[in-house]
Amino acid sequence: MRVRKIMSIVLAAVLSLGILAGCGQAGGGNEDEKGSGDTDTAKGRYLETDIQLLENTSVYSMVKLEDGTIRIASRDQEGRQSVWDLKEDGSTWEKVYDMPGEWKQTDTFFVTHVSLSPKGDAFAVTSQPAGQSQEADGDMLEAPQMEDHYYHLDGKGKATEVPLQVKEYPYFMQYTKDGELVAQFQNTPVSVVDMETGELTDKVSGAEDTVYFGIAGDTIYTVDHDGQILPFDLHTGEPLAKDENLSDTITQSGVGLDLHTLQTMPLLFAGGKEEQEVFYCTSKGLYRHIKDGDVTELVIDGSLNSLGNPDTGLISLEATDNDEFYILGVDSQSSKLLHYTYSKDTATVPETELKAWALYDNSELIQNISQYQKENTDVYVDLEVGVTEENGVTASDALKNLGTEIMAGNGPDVLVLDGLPVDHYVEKGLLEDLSNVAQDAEDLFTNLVSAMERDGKIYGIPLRFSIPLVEADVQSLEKIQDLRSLADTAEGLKASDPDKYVCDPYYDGTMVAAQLYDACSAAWVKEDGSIDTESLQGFYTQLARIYDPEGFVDVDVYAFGEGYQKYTSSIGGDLLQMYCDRSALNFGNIWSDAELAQLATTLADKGGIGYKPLTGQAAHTFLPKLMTGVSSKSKAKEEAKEFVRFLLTEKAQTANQGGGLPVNERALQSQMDRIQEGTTIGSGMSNDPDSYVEMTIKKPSPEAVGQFISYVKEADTPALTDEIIRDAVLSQAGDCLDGKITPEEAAQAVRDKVDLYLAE
Amino acid sequence: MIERKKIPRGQTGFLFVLPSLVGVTLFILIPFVDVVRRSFVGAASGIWVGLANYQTVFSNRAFRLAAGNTLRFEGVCIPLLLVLSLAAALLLDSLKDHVQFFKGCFLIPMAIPVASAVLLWKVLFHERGLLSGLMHMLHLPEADWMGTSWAFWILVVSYIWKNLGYDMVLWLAGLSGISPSLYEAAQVDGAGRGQCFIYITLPGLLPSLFTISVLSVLNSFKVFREAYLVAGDYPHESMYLLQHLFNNWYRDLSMDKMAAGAVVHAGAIFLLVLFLQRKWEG
Amino acid sequence: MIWKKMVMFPLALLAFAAVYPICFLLAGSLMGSGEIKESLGAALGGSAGYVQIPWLPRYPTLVSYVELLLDSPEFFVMFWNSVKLVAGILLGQLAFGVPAAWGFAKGTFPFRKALFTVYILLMMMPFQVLMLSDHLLLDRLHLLDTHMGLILLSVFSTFPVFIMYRFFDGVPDALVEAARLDGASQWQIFFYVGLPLGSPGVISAMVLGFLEYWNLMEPPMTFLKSKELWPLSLYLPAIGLDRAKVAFAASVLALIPAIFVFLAGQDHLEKGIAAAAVKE
Repeated sequence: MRVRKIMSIVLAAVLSLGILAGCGQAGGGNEDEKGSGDTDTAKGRYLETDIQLLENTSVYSMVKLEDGTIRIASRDQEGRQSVWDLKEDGSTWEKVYDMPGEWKQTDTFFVTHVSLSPKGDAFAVTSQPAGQSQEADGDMLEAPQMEDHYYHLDGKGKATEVPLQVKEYPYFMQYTKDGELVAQFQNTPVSVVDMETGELTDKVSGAEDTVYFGIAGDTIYTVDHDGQILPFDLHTGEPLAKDENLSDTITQSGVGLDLHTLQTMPLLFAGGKEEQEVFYCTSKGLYRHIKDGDVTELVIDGSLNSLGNPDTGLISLEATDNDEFYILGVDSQSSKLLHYTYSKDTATVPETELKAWALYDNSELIQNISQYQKENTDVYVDLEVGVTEENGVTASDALKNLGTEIMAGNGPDVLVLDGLPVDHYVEKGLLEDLSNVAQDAEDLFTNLVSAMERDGKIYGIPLRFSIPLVEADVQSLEKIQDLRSLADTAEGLKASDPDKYVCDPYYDGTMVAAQLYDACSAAWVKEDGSIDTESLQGFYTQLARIYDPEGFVDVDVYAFGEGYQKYTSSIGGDLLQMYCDRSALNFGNIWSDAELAQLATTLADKGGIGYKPLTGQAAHTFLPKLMTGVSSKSKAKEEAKEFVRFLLTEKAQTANQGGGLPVNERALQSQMDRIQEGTTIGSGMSNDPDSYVEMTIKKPSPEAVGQFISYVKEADTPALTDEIIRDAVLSQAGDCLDGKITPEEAAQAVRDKVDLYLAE
Repeated sequence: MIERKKIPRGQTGFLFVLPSLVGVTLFILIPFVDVVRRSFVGAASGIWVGLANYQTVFSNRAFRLAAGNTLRFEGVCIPLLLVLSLAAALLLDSLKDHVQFFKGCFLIPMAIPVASAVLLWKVLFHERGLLSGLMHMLHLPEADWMGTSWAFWILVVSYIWKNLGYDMVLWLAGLSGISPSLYEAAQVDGAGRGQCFIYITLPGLLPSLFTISVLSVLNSFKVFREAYLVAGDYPHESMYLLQHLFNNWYRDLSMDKMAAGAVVHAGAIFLLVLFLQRKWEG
Repeated sequence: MIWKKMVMFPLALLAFAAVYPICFLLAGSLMGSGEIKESLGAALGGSAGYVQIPWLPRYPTLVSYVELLLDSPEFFVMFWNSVKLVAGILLGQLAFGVPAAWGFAKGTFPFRKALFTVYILLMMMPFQVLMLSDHLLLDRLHLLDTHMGLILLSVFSTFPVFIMYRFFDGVPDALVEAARLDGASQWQIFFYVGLPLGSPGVISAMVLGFLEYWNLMEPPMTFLKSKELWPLSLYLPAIGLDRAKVAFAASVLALIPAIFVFLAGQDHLEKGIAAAAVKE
């Protein structure tokens, strides 16, 4: 009796568990995926190598000739174009021909496109001013009318102009394997170009909405504005049945299919040696698909090489008969020819996995990870970002999730400490001492790193930094010694020349406060960790003197979005204003080599202007960014430290996406060396044409760079990086400057809020 | 047949409870015991520290503030809700028609998603929200209500708004449980409305009071969701509750303090439940 | 009559205050962005003046719904996640909670009272108290970031047991005894006497459960990492104020199932709430 009863209960329980399990399964699918990596040490992976290109050349296009040779068209440093074949050894280049000598690039003559045919001929587009209408001097907004010319080049480089009927700007062009040029010009459908008559005939029927296309074997794939991938027969141009598996895999991989530049494409196609084989490549990797088949396999995982590097743009893809791949790409520095070969002995999945965690997304870090993985094929760095635009999680929830993972023992190995409660982590012994790593690293600004020391240990090394500066005429600059004298000077300048700004007119009080924050914040926290209200009150008082509510131009904040708020501490936007005599005083953080170049240009072009590090309420301050630490609970501490060492090398530090200046001196030097002379920058408000100003960048002289570096070497006081204190201080600034509360009340309000936080 | 009667009565029903008990033990009781254990060890080290965490917590200003606020919140809003909902229930009871309609209206706030309620909060209590607009019209001072000590009262109002119907129905049920014959007898004896209320209604409702209190306390913890979504980690000091503090401790990985605080909190609830239960059962 | 009017007035006022938010959400969801910005802009995004009370949209439009339903595929995913979660939790509570409530109400095993007190105590624990340990537990069971983990945690909430207990407690002992004398087994008594008499309690516990879990926030936020698994209740706060009109529309659509369940179960819900209060 009893036994039966127990049985029935157990049965009932099992049944209901079964129902529940059924529910859970559907949602928990991604658990399995992770598990499959465990099948240990499966071997075989494609490895990436860079094929050395001729020095300082930029490559237009690449093609695989019928005999399998890889051919490129490039432009050298002098602006001359030539066509090269890759020799059998796979690393040296043999010139096939030079393009006409009169095509040498000048300020007004460009070769904009070169497309190579597998049969050996080529098609080129040149751009030059139309007729005699030369540019009218002085009017900077009116660019001269440019005109395109089209040429067919035979196998020896002899150019014949093609009398193309459509005078439109070419978007994309590609030769088919039969030597037919398929091209897409602005406002025209995908067409075939007749080299004799210049006539365009529609290539595919019913694809008006096409943005770009790719060719694989006998199929041409068009991508339209909605991101739909539609196949057409290459020979008849008739639409084929939609290849569901192909479209779905591409769409679901989460890559954006929109076009952002005309040079690079988000999606490349290539045919394989088999008829039905399709290869395609995105930032996620290179995939193989059989036409209309049900499977698409990932051949090369983009997260393990340059493909996943946000800095890499894709230009063209070729698959060879011996299952190798060539991808022509470009990054912010130069063209890249990537060669992928299969290595039997390399583990399919890298053996060491390093988990990295950052609260916010950071492009430099992703770029560095990509570089690191390429060099260390046995390491996979998995970066998790806490707060992303799509997950909408608050910073505090993201930190809670991180905390739980650490407590559960599967936390990250490498931590980006920006925005993390570092004090608490240190107090609980969760961070590893990185003094050794800092000592080993070469060419670091050691003052910046050792400024982070506490009790003789370094728990976080900043990878980037920014530094507060003040820019003004030399006499005024001399008078500025602290926040009070900055305010005195601002008032003086405002009185003597009311037409010039002393603070950014498009910045409201909170933002101006943000520009001064890093030069002052270090003075607000007393030794016992509590807030020094007196000094904070001083901040608000002087801020009110500097800020001019009447000069504030309210622009619709909606238009800028959130990025606007993030970069408000920057001096960048104001540099141009000084250059064209609109502002008399600028202050704020310098974030990038580009800003530094603007500053140097201003100093070189205009007499009497100078800059120096801004001493607010604290002297020699800097804002550490991308503070990187290693978890003391990590099971791969040595590997993690090795990775951090790499992050500090010149190579990694040269990566530049605007997230701060490198802490490696040589990397900063080399960034400055690469500044392009002659680039013109301009800015203005769309509703006010008079606001338009521009500057032609000069390459900073070695002295100018040396001067800046000597300033950097003086910095030894990190600004407060605590975001809760920052929010509290900045949020009171608005009310204080609007006169709703006195500086004393504002300081008290901050103290009340922050004391509670510090008491926790 | 005869055999079954021999089953000792002391055992019946346990098998019904068993599956639930196993689950509750695994998913709630064991985690709770784990929290108690953590309150005696260091946050990340796991080393036994005895009562040190409790000492830290009790001397912590943030904890004292949060505990004080939580007590104050319970102390203000529970009696207020009980009285208001009783008043509404009495009014509704004296009304013979539309009763169903009103009950429905009062219960509806229970169904409104928290996030939607939060949207409403923002519109109402923003510096330039409805309330400020009203004050402006009346030439009274306006404020960023959530950033002043009014925040506490906003929390109270929101709690009452959400739970008035729930408690009212509880009271109505209590009222319906009082036998009408009692009132009739009283009226025969010449008792007035007031006397009836004091000598019949209130005593008759006393048994319900304890359940209603328990459920009201239970629901009061849910107010945190709104508070958190509106004002984040650091709301105005007056509405900084224990749950805010626990959340922040969690964020900072101060698991030691969090566990000790949680145990103190649980202890307080335990005493309350015991107290109410003793009253209720006896 | 005057008495009646005097009673009606405060009640009507209170009732209006209780129901107004729904009108507010409905009105907001039917406004275009321009109108939203005009009337609520002061609170939502920087425009001057004060918020105006939105009564009726002047230019009603369904554009918010269109944007939400056509352009936000994640809305559907989250809606179904919510349905899946709530269904799983309620089924589980039926399977485990109902017998437990019956056992506590009519059983006579030792420590019954004490155990029930523990249940009440656990029911009163705020989520924050247990979140770390729950997290570690789910991690150990490999149930983190799965619906299953979230469901299991909620299935064993003791609240429905508490609610249903009062109902089963109200089933007259005489009936149970009579059934026993007629030779019914424990299970037969539960199924044929307990369940029919206690069904309002079960239903009301389910309705309360639905309202609770449909709006669940902290647990999914803590235990579900993948956004694809999130329920609707987390979608709403994630909509930025710049998309306020979509937030209104999403609120209304999230409200509909809750209101529907609420209206369908109102009678039972009332009985359920009420039964908890009455002492036999």
